[in-house]
Amino acid sequence: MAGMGTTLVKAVANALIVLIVAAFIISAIFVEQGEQQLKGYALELFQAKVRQYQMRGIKLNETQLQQINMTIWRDLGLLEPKSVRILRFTLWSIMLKFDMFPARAHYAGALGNTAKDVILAALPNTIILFTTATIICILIGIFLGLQTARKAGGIADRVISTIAMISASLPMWWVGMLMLLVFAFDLGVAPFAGIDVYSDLAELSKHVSGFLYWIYSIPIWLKYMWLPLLTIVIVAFGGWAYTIRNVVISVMTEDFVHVARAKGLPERTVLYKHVLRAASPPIVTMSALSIVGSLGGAIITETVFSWPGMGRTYWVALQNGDTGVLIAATFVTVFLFVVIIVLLDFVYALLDPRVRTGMTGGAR
Amino acid sequence: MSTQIERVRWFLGELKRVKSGLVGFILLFILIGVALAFPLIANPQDIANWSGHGEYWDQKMLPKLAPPAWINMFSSVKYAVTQDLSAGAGNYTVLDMQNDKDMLRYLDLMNPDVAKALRQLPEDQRKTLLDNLRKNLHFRYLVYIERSIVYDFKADVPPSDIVILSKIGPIILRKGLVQGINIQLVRPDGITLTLTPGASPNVTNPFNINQYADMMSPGLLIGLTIPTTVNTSGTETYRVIVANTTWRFSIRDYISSVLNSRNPALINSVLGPILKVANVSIGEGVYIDPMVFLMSKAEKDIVAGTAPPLRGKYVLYIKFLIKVPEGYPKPVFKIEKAKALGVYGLLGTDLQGRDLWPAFVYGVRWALIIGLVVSVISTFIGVMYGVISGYLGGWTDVIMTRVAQIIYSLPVLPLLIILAYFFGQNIWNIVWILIAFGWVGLVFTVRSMVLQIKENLYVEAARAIGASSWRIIFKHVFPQILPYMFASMALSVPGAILAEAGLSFLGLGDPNVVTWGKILHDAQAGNAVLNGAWWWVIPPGLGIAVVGMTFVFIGYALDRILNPRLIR
Repeated sequence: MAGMGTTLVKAVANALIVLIVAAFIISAIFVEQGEQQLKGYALELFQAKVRQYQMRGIKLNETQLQQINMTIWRDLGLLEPKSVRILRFTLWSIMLKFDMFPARAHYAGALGNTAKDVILAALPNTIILFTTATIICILIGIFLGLQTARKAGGIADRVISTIAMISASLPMWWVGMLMLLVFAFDLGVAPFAGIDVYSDLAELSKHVSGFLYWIYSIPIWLKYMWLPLLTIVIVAFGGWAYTIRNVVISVMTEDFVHVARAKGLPERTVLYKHVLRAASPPIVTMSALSIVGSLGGAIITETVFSWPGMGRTYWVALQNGDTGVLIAATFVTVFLFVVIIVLLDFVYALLDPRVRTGMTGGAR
Repeated sequence: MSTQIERVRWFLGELKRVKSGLVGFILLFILIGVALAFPLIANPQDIANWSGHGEYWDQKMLPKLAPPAWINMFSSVKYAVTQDLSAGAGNYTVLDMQNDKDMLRYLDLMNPDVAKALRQLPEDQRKTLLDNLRKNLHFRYLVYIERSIVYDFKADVPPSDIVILSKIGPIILRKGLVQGINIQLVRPDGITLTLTPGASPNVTNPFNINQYADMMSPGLLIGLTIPTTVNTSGTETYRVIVANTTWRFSIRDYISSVLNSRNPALINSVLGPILKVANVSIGEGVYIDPMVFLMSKAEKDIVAGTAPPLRGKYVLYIKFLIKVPEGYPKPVFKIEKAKALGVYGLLGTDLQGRDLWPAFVYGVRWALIIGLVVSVISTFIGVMYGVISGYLGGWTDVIMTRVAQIIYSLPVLPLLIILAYFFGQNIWNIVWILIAFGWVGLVFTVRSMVLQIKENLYVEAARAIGASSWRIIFKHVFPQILPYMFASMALSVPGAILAEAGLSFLGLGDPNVVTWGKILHDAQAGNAVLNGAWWWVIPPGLGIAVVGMTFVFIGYALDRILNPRLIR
């Protein structure tokens, strides 16, 4: 285990560099992007203030006007030079101090007005929808992948491959619109907007509280999430099944599988014990990365379903020039992504001595 | 040359074996054909005026949010089809009050006893009396105009509207100059609806002003959407319908305004004849579809909208009795276009009444352009990057890999959105942005392939002879990557198309280019899903999927034909 420590230090150092650079790029881009919107917003505020004074019949001189403008600019953080703001955002991002970032727009479910509150409200919503969907897809994918790999070239295999090809070119959000047309408009069995879940929950909280509230809120969440969940699974399971099939097929040609078969082990045991175990490292990597990736939500799909998750939060923040929330939402996903890669590298290094000295492994 | 031909022949032979690839290439040819044939199968003017100020589409008078016409082939309920309506009988009669004969005729109609007495008087006495009578008239000409349109309703579901586009004017609306309008709808069952309240249901004498609604009665012209302007001459201010005024009359809008007026007298005067026959009344706050009401049998379910449709010929009469003062031109009323608005065209229309077919066909072009340009350039960049990084090795490799890793770890769509915010509004900028993020995924695979190729003996040999790095890269390394590159190009097309569609869907696309993503953006903004407008949502997404699938099929086929080692 001599090389282990160095590998770990190297991996963490690499990750830190990536994180710092990413934080800087993200901060720079969003500060730059928010600049125009913030200045426009400042001008609007200023004009509104001046109009207020005019209505009250108060005449302001040049210095007073300047004073008002300065106050607005200070409140919006525009007085500091851009570089200072970028560096500060970078530093706070790396320290994960998202409660320092202001949130100006209104976000459904957020309890406070910092980026941290916004993310704490949105992230769980994304997790219960997208992470659940991803896990379901992985499970379906493993099952179908194993079955189709067993009879490669068979009817089931061809069907799954075709589904994978088709769903690779389907926009998920468009499928979402179709699902809404069928299930919400035609059949009326699903709600149009996921965000209405909050009004239902508010209604519920008037009647029950505590543990009962928790129990009763489950069917409410299910009512709002089943359609988007179904959409994600329909679009994504084919790709998973196809990828896992390919991984499994490459494992199946290895000698130990032939040995297992030759020993007369039942096909089930060969498949689920021997093959799946050998095929698990890439599958685990892909799964871990996808689960982390799912935390970012899906901007367009969430917009179509009005789902109050990370993707929609991002979109709302973007339209309102909410720089702090944008940086926080983006950096959180990058951070989790990088952390999981380091963890995976580390786990593989522990498990497989061959990888110990290699570069970042896994899905690439 | 012959080897080239042989190669192509070999490739085509292989292609026959890989069925999905064959399908892919056939689809690609069809798509290219459709893109090239666009001016033949759709009207390019529609696209040129797609995002204009709407005048172009107003002129076209298409229904709004109309399903495609072919749904009648699959539906047991037949929908009325959008069609031009024919003009029925018309009339234009002028009585000149300076002419004794016309004057007497006018009096015949207005006051028969006086006319009779006048006729019995000798010529000169009659003239004097007529001159006296003329002094009390404020006009020179009395013009009677009658126009009608006929709609033969044969379907089960009535049209969503009947719209008449006409030119009208000049008409001077002065106090003391009582002029009339009378709009009537005669249904196949003989029920006559008088749409202009105050007019008589059966006109026996077209020159009798009492059989018309007074054009000066408050709100009437506004309700009928006849535009007027205020004119001042001297101290007098009066309204005028100026010459050549465009009058767009929508029966649906008019009946809706009557129903929404919450004025029982008005509702009764317009819709009373149907209500009387059906023996029903309209309750407070009941929603009634105006066209369904007008075109259903007068039975008791008519208010609920479930009465059976009344098929047959509907005739709409529009009659004017206009008085023209001395020195003013005579009025004109000409129907330019009349349309029943129902299901329409190959793909229906959107909320603004735009034909979706040309937009859909035009979308093929941009999907192909975006997909191909982005995939070819970004794949090429990615491959070159990977080759250089892998071949040169050392610090160059470390730095290049690290840069690629950083870009790879950034969430793509959020940054695409940001950049589109910055530089969007132009389709080519979006293409560059997609390229900027599209190349990086390939780098890692190519690099590892190059690391393997580099170890081959022939590369070492070439190096030993003293070949330069660039020569080795282009002569020995690059050709090995080519098959993989072609497959990757095809496989990265769907991603590029999906990304552009996503950006356009969010409203970050080029506002002047009609892409499938933009159509879907409009559909989302226009609540197509809430209105059940499937014809607005399905075709563009299907187009995206088909173009994507075409290249996925081709990509997999190329992968299997050109990289036989990868077949497992």
